[in-house]
Amino acid sequence: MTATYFDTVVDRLRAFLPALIEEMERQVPYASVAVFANTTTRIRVDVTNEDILLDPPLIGAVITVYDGVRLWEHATHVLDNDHLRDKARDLVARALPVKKGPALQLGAMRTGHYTVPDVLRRPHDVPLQEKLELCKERLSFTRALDPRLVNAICDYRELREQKLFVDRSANVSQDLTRLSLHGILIAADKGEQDYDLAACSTTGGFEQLRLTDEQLREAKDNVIQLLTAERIAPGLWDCITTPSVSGLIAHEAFGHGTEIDMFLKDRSKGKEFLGRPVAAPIVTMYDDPTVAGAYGSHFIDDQGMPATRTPIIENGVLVQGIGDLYATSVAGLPRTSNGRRESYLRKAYTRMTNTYFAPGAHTLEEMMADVEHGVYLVSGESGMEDPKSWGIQCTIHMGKEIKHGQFTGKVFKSLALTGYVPELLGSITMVGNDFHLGSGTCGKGHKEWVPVTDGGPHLRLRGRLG
Amino acid sequence: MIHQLLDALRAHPEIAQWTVRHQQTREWQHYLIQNQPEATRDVHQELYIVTLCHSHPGPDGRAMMGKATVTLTAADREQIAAQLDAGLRIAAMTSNLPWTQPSATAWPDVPLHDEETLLDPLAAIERMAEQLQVAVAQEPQIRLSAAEFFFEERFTRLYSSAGIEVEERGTQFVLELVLLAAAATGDAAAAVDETEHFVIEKRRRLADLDVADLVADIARNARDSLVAQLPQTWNGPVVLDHNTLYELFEPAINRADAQAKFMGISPAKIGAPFLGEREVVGEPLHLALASDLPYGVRSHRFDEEGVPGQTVEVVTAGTFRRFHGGQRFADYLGVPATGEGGNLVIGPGTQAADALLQGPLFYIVAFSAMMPNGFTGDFAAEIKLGYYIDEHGVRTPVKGGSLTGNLFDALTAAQFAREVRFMGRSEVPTVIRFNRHVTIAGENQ
Repeated sequence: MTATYFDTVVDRLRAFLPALIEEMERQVPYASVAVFANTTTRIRVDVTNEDILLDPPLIGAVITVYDGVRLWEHATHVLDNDHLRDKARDLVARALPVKKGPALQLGAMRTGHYTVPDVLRRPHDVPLQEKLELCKERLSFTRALDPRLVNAICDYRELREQKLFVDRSANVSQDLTRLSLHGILIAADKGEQDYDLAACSTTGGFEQLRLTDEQLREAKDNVIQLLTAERIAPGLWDCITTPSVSGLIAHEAFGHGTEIDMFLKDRSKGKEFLGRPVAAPIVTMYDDPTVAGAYGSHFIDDQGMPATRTPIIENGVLVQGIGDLYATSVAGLPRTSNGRRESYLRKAYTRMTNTYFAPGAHTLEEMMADVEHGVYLVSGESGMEDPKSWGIQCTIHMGKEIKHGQFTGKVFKSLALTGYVPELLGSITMVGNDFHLGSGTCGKGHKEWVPVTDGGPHLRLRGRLG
Repeated sequence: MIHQLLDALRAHPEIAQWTVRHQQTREWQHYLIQNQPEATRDVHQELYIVTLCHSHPGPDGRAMMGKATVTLTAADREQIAAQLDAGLRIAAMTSNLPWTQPSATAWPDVPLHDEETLLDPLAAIERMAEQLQVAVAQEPQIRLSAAEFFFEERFTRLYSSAGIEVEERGTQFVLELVLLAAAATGDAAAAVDETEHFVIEKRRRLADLDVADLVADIARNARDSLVAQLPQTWNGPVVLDHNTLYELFEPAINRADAQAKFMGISPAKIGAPFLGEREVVGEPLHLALASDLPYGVRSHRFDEEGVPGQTVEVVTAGTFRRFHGGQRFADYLGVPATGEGGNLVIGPGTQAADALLQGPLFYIVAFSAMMPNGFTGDFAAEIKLGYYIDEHGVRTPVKGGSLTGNLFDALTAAQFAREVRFMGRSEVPTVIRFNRHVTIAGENQ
């Protein structure tokens, strides 16, 4: 079963499903069918191995019925009309009787097929051999950078997402491919070992994917410095965050905390702070699936909602959350394009897309100039949110000491940036005039992984490091 | 379909070796928001996952091998030959040292499925949801935020060109539970009005999870979080609860991985101290990976190549004994294949948990996320809930700040509780006390 299988069934289903929806909605307030084909190709080469890995494709349909209170769903890999009709009827029978509850906010009628425009080379048209050679060439370049590199991994990922969503307000489809290329550099010397990575990503054309020599050289310099890095003295520090770390803060601090399904569960303090200041007035933050070419972008979410930019913080004030169909309908808040599924095997949750701080006015030189003793936080490893208490944890891979506005050459490794989110965001005194988004995978708690980006400009703030 | 597929594989002249995993999966999912059902789902999937290998000479003329995986469903019945050819073309693109396949053998009869729940999975889940709600209602200051229940049944039949034909039936249950604690009216000690505490538990059987006990634990943690304060910065002993250990030990599991060794990124040497030249002043580490642990979440009768489930003693008395890994990297290293890593088993120590909890120390029961650096063992994790225990045994809840250290350094001065606990995917001491090499970053004294 491959991506081409979806192409063979989508037109038939596009024609068949509206009548099935109509039949189901004779008995229940709402029904939909979403069909997904997620296919992943991975190429991974290192000094000792080369592998092309085709993950089992996740191709199937989700039939959804709303009984007025609860969503009932059946997910299946069998896409023939008779099977879907039988399962839809079973599902309606299970959902009955209809209960009294909030109506789902479906929005205006929308139809059409979406794909990334102006693509020179569609990734699935590029020969696998060419992708393999790209990885080998980048590996070869990397290996030659320093003898202390004991190995390096070049990791290419191509995630093609095709989907069709049909309900009484939508008959929309989308075909896009997300690409990423990572160089993971592993160095060892005098009994110490560490790693750093360089990454690029895009959604759209293969020609957009470029892991540059400069990125790989920078990662090499970083990993060599990490071999002699120290742990930082715990305490409150003046920090400058790179766009990578700014993005980690955006994602963990307010991204998760403004997911409206978390409001319903009373798991988010953000619910109480809508319309109130939560950050320094120079801070603005968005979730935005419309960013052209970004790894977390889409045209429609997994519930057929067209992509739009959502302002989350404007001038320091929390203005809006992000939400899926069910959560926004129950909460009575505006629906956004953030209903996403890991695959057809999972339910839709409120999920981020591209989450970032908006750029400001300052250059990095201006931000560094009057730092007496601080840390430049170079890259993040991971993060975890606590929207209820507004706690934040960001694990920082590497930090560089700053004294009197200059780097001292001293490097710190494995730092924890923790704190109370409004305090952390309130401490932002400068916002950089640069901008970068980095790709990643976001979990809901510890599961439900979806592709996202986060980022923004450099930020100057005060943070608790350990 | 399976016979058609096997016939095509056996008849293909260019496939050097192959496996087929025929997987039939059913899953039932149930979601509560507060006390209301949000969604109820059932899922059905049937896949034929074919791994095939192609032998060819490498650039230097040596025999090499490449592999590819193609996945079929019943809808692919008419395209079997074309799909296999497409897979073979991909396998021919990569060149690795050849490896062998496991042979047919006597696979262990590892208990993996929950017969009782399978009688009516959705009803069993809904019963558990009711029990959970009753247990929550009995807890003062506590209410349910959300709960998610996932119960999966999977039949796997494995076939290979080495003559393997074997099957297993497994179930898996996942519970995600979030409780909220509200400050009692007039509670001056409460730092906040309401806090949450959550847990994700994985088991093979519903009966292996005591819902009432679990709710009591999480409720207590949630209530304690209400009054918890930022800890003082600390360089003394820190005790970690069994809940926090699985993720912490991932760098140790990585270090023992045959693939990591072959890639030159693991310093582990068979017969040498696992912690290298570090001086060990604590109790020696015993670490195993057990894929034959009854009802272990990571247990199996056989792995995806057909290697039988087994217990792999990775580290005994502080000495590294065996790498774990599949057939390919075991062949490369010239060691026996152990199959995919199983459940984490850490051996007990000599003292009771109560003795290890003698203060002054910090006792951490939950991190926001423990995600150590898999290469180095460095970690830095926010404390979600812990306790400062003074020399008289008085406990003061703490949260915030972070615990930092390096797993391999910390293990040089570790003491393991003599009591062990089964946690679904691990069987570990109830606590581990780290006497040195860990730091809590908190309020400066």
